[in-house]
Amino acid sequence: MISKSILLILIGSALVTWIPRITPFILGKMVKFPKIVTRFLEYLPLSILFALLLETVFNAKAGHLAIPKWDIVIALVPTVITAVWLKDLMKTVVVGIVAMALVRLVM
Amino acid sequence: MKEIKTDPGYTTFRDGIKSCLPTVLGYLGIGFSFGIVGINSHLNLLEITLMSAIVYGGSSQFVMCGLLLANTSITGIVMTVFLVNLRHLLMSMTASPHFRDESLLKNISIGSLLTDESFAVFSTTVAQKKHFSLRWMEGLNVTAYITWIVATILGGLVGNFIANPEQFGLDFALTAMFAGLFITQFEWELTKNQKKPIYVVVSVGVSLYLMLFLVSSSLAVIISALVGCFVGGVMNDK
Repeated sequence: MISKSILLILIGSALVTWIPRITPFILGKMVKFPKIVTRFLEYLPLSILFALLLETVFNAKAGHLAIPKWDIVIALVPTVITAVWLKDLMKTVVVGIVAMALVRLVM
Repeated sequence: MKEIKTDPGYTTFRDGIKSCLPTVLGYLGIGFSFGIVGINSHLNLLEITLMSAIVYGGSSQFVMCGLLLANTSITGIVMTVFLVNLRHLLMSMTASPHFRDESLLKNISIGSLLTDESFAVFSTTVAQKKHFSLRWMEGLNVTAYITWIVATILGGLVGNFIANPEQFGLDFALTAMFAGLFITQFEWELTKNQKKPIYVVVSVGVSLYLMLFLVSSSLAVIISALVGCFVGGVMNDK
C-alpha cells in the first residue's frame, strides 16, 4: 500500500514542516518577543504575500536571471483587475483559472 | 485569562468557516491539481492523502512530486521541503503573539494548521483591527485543512484519466489566490499609510528578483520578505 521509503520521506517532511510552524507558538508562550521584532513583523503579511505572488511569476534558477512566465503574466492581468474591481477572492480565482485555460489554449 | 470582546463575525467556529469560504475555491483548485500531479508522479491515493494530511504545505508537495520523479535521495527531499516551508516560521512569529493568553496545546494546534492563505485571512482581520476569538481561528484553519485533503482525494481519483491539470488552468489557482490576498492586504495597508506600503512592495520586488539570481526561490522569498519588513520597520509613520 505504501512503500517504506515514501513513508520515511513523508514523516521526515512532515516533521521539518511542523517544527518551524509551531516553535514560535511555543516560544511565544514563554517569552515576549522584543518590541522591535514585532514592529518589523507588522509588515510581514504584505511582504511575504507579494514575494509569494512574484515567485510564481518567475522561472528561476540560481545563477541565471529570472525569466517571467509569460502565460502567467498575461493571465494575471484580468485576475488583478477582478481583484481590484470586485474585491471578491472567489471570483478572482474563477476569472484567473478561466483566463489561464484560455491563454494555454491559444499559446 | 483576559476577556477580550470579539467583533460579531469573528467569534464562533462557524464564523471561522465563513471567513475561510473565499479561499476554499483556491484550495480546491490547488489541492485537486496536486492530487492529479501526485498520481502522475507514481504515488498512490493513500500516499498523496497522507502527504496532504501530515505535510500540509501546497507548494512543497508539488516540489516533492518533482523530486520523487527525479529519484532524489530521502535526505535531499526532506532538506528541500524544510527550505520550502521555512517561511512558516516567520508567519508563526507574526501570528503567535495574538494567542499568548491561550493554552500551550491550543497554540500548537493553531501553529500546526497555519498556511499562507489562513495567515493572509488572519492578517487582513488584524489589519482591519477586528477582534477575533480562538474559535474563529480554529474554524478558519480546520475548514482549510479539510478542504485541502478532500481536494487532494478528488484530484487523486481522476489522476489516472488526466495527465496534465495545467491545460485547464487549475495550477493558476495558486497565483490567483496570492494575487487576491495580496491586493486585499495592500489596500488595507494603504488606508493606514499612503506611502509606506508602496516602498515595502517595491523593495520586496527588487530584492526578490536579485535573490532569485543568487539563491533558491524558497530562500529568495524569505530574504525578500525580511527586506520588506526592514523597510517597513525603519520608515517613519507619516
